[in-house]
Amino acid sequence: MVAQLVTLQLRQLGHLLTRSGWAIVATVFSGLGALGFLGALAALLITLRAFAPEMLPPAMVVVGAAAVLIWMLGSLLIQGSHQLAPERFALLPLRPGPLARGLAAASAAGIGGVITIGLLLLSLIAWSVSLPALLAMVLMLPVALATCVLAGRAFSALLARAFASRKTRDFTSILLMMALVSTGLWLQFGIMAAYELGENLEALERFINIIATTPFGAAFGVPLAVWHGEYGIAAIRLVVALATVALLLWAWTAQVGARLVNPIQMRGSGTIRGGGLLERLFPATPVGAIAVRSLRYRRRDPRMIINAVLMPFLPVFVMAVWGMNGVLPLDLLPYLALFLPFMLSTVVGMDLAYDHANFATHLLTGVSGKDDRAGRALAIAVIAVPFALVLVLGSSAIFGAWDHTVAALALTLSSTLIALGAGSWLGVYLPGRAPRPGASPFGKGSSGGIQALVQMLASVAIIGALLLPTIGLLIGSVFVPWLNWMALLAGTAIGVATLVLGIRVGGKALDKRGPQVLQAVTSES
Amino acid sequence: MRLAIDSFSLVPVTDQQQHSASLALRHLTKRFGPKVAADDVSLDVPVGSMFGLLGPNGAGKTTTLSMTTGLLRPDAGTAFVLGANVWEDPAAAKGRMGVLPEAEQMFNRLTGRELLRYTGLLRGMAAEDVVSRTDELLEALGLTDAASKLVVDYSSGMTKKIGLASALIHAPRLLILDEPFESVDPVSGETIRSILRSYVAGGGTVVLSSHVMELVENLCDHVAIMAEGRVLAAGTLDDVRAGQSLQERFLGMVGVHQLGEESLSWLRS
Repeated sequence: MVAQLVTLQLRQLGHLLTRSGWAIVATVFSGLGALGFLGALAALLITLRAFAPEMLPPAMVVVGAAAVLIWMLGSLLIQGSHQLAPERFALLPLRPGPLARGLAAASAAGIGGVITIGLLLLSLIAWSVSLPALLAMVLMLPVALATCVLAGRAFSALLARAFASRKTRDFTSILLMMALVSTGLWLQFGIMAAYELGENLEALERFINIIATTPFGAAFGVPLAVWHGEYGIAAIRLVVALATVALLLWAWTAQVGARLVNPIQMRGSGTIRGGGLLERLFPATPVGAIAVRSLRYRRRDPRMIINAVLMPFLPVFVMAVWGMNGVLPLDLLPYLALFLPFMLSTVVGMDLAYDHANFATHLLTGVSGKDDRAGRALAIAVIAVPFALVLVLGSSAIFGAWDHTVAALALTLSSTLIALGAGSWLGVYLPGRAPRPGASPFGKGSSGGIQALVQMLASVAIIGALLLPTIGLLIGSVFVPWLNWMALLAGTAIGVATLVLGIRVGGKALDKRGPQVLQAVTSES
Repeated sequence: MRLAIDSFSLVPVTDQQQHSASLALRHLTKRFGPKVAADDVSLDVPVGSMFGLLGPNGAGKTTTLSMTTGLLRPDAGTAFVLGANVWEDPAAAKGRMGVLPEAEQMFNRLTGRELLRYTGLLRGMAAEDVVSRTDELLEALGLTDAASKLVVDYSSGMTKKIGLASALIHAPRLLILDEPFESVDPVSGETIRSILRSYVAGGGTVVLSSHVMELVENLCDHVAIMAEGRVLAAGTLDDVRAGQSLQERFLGMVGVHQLGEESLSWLRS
């Protein structure tokens, strides 16, 4: 059973990675990226091992406990689209025990599992500080891996029934996403706390010892205790670690057994009330209708809610962090609003990919490419343009730094409009790929594929090139101050012109390429 | 195994006919790699007819209809909707036909009412007309209670009905329906049938695909039979079935997959 399910998982993984030419290119690149990341991590560990070996084992305990937590949250996120959900086996004559073990083993053979195994093996570098500790960790490797995998599957399975309601599902995935994205902030708080604790080494040690005895860190606590020569504590932690695995396996098996006979039925979200406001704000034309639909989707479709939440959240977040740290001189902070246009460019460009087969509706009704482009751009512009103003003026006001406000406004406004125009045009040729409607926002295709990457690079190049006149005027304003107002004017004009042109040219291209675009965004290969 | 094309089956088509016909397909051809999904498909659908397109799975029905509605560009050939060439003047052609979308082609995070409004406005209709027709359509199809629910939460039968409503909202002269009765319960099926009958009685033309023979035999006055990308027979219902039942004619043309004596013998043990 275990061997069969692991083979099944590997075969699915293989198909996913080599589905098409684009997929293979993407696989090679992400594979190289992953290898580079692991290499850099290995180099870091080896350096630390050489210069500060006594730091490493306690750090590994914290990292290990964090890995278990990440597995739990991560498996919640991919919940809906789990390839190996127990329900899929409900019609086969299988007993819960072997099936649960097999599914867990198959999880370890998935992408997350492979990464975890790689990281666990790398952690051996850290544990090589002493031979007994290294041996202890080698023995604990399977336990650590089992803890991660089982914690993930058991935790998400326990919550699965609550997640059958679409509202809970959507809400949680947004919440978790924000938590994940703001990891930087939490890390910063963590590091600040650790720094405070670092003053007080005893407290830090006590803290790590507590983690090392909890179910989260016990598997890694064993070698830590061995390293300290505290074999009694090591034995206690071993018992905790093994009991954790046993308990998780029991919980997971029970859940699999329950779901084999009582599969989870997904529930809908009930009645939508109101909603007339948007319809009154936009004209009752194809452009207005498309804008209204785009805005509604940004609120109702979890794949898009995340983008919609992240887009304003990230620039604010980056400004807040840099502002608090004093990394940048405060009067330069308004320039950070430029994060917005760079994120925007792919949002517009990938709109068609997010439509997936739904784009057929536009083709069937014969709506013109120009109206299609204009409606989508309008929906984003009504949010993005005011928000760009708020970002620049708000950060100037909060930090009381007005010297660069006009310049930052010129650059941000211009590049926001250029990004919308460039995306309207590029998106027709490089629509990219998105998870299908209803699928998990983090599942297949969530990275947008290599096309989205090319699209982003092209869009950045276009933004850079078209910003040059504005930048020129801003440089001039160092000598002739009123030129910065000219820059604002010229930048806005260039932006508007690009947007209009992007909609026109993109619209014409869409009229011609509509059926090809539909095929590209719906093809699974 | 397939029979040769019968003498009556292919009406010789001329350029004049494509204007008198509601829908005229001319030499539609589409290849996917080595597979020819549609092979030189030509058909004429007379104005005011209820036309059934029959064929086994993989016969090329959906491919042919996609090339007719502008979703899939043909390798060769084209389609005329009341004289408008779908691939040369798509806006005119698409304005004259209504198409039942597949479930996955609908913006299903809109409510039923919002979806109809969206389709109507995309079709360039005035807002007042959209609102009044939306209410009538929802009422006629028994969807009024579900009007404020997201389409993604509809049952598959309800999804078909809201799709039909969005195909009808701009009062097209030609309706193209791919598998309109699939997974529709008998009550809703009868509602859809009566709507289609009165639509045809009012001069509209319906083209529907199906592989349920009895349904087509009861509902349609014209039929075409497709298999392996080709039209094997086309004409009035009586011409095509030639005194037999449609089922017998169909199997005779498409070929029956005969089970040998030995096959699945272990099932009888």
